[in-house]
Amino acid sequence: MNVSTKGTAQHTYDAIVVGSGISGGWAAKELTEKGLHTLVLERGRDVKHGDYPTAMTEQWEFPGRNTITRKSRERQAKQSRTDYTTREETAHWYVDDVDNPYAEDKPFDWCRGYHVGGRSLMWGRQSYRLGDLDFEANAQDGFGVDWPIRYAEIKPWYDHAERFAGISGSNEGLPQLPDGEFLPPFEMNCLEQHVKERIAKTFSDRRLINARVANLTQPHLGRGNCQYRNRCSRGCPYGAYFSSNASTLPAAAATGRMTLRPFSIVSEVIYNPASGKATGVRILDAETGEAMEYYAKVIFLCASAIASTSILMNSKSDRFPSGMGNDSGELGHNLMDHHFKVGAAGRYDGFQDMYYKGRRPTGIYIPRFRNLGDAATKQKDYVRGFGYQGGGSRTNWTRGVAELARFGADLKADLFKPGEWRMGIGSWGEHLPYHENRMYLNHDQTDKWGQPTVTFDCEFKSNEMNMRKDMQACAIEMLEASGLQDVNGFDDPTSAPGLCIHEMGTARMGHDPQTSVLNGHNQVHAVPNVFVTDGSFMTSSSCVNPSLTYMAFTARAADHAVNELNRHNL
Amino acid sequence: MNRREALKRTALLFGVAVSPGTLTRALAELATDSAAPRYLTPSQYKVVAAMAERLLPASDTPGAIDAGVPQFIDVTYGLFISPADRNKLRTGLAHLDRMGFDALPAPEQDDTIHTIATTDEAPGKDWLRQFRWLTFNGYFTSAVAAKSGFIWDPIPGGYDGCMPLAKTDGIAFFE
Repeated sequence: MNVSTKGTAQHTYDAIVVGSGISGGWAAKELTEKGLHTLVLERGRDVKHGDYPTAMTEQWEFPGRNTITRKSRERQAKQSRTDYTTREETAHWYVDDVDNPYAEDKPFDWCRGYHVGGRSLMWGRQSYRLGDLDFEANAQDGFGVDWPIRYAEIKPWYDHAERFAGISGSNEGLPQLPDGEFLPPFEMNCLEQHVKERIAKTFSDRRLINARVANLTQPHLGRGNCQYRNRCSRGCPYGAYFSSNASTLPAAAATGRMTLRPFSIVSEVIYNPASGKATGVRILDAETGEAMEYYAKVIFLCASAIASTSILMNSKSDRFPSGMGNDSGELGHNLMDHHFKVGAAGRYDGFQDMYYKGRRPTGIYIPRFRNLGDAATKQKDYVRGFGYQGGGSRTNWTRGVAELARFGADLKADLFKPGEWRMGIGSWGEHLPYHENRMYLNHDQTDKWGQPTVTFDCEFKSNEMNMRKDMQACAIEMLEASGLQDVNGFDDPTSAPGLCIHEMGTARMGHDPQTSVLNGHNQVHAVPNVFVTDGSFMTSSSCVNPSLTYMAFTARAADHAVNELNRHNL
Repeated sequence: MNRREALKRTALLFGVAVSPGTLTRALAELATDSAAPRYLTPSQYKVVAAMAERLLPASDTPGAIDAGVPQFIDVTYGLFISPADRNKLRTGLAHLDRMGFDALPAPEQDDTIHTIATTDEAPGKDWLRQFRWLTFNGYFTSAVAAKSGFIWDPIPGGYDGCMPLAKTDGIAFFE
């Protein structure tokens, strides 16, 4: 292999961060702020804050009125399975599936954004903490291995992450959903407020609360507050939601110690058997194909769960014949995602004279109320739990399409008015860590850069299916108790893992190097200067959106890395 | 209240200036853009325009033709919908073209639509559902609808979750 050997000094940094998304951006910020000259390697193109082509585009300015184009259906067939991510407004943020293929032993919808900022540009921004109910879950019910962490150790890092990122929400005093450092919450509308009150009166064990979301209700650390346009995933010119581009990368750049190299595909981590440590990474330039190496004392893999594990799997040596850090055989295993697309919706006949102004980037949340560790909430058919997101609104013009016999000036005039009030809640449920759910590399099917491709073998099993029955039933009963009419449940059990875009696991942390890949500080057990802080470290999935947890663990791991460097342990 | 006055009043409440002159100009620009279709045949296009205008006719608010719906359906037909949906649309249009739909007086056009909506008469209820979706989508997401039918508030800046509907004179915000 021809490896460009430009002066080693020019290619040597204190730290290398692979990936620039939710966790990579945080690693860059924390490491540079603590004094490390840091190289951030991103496989895709650069995107500077503000370079958001569709941020201000009006509906009529999209040729297809914001549809999924034929080109997207051809080039982004798998990305298009969500039915929304590859609309004209955001298609440019998702990968070309033809250039970036993967295989499915069982269906898996792998949604990726390969550019500076990654999916931190397009994410849903819901931000909740894990608590000890989650950290103790594996030990309690025997699925997976025990987390090497408890809430007390990670709490200061959640505080730190929330204070910088800016999370709007309300403190509720619920042990299963720890409180946080919040900006004022986004307000509820009439119907949501009513349903909140009815749920509180009817169910002693449930509560409807403001969602906790990484959007700003007030200016924060130089970023502007939300303008209520609800165009977030296009990129926000106001910086009003958390993304690497608007938040962590500018902070890292401001230190003068960050070097960002886009179009850099990391193929493997370089291992030095004499020292027992990694010395750097090998990359391919995505544009020229040229191979080169970069060196550092500390390496953070933040390429996203599947990608970081792929890099480890591809980092083979005599010491690690089946991939770096794979002494346990668990690398690639225990893949999880949340299951969703189950809930209920109905109509509310009141508040006919009420409406709302502004388009919020969020709705409401109903925290988990099942299997909280006591007899009262213990379920017979399943372990773990689920939460709900959703909201109320008045229907728009689409309500008029199906009434075939009605047309003309009167209908047109009606459709310029808001329709009936409706409320819908959808549930997100935990996915147990099953060893057999996995991804692996296929060296026979390579991509255009000659890199092995990923194959998925993952499914939801009976615990998830049993949970879904309760997820739907509880949704129906909460909406009916709130006085909604014609309440209909929905459940799409065919929706595959991956569709939720919370894929995690495959390099889990644990106490024991025989059964886990990483230790409690996100270090590869056997290679202490390699940290893995994206979703791959997750030992269980909880039922809450995971990105806030990646931020907290990344910041904590960076702190540990710098401390260890200063103690000459790395 | 005169609708233009109502819109002007509510638009000013939300800081969006809409003058009658601006509206007239916008409508005029669109109405005279009667360029030949790029993807549908001229006779199919005439049927599209006639059907769309009966579904959403000009009244005290602009109609489908004013809002550029025929052009939108032409582009959607050519560039966006699946081959299966294209065939379906074209077959139905061909049937209506043979019937001479676009030359019928408006009341007879309405009767024809009503028959398709309530019986098994060709081109069928499924076809009508598809056509209605194209028409309504093209209309209610258009600049004309945004600015002369809805309240257009591109940068709301804030949220009022419990606002009397009377504050917008009962009109919805463009979404």
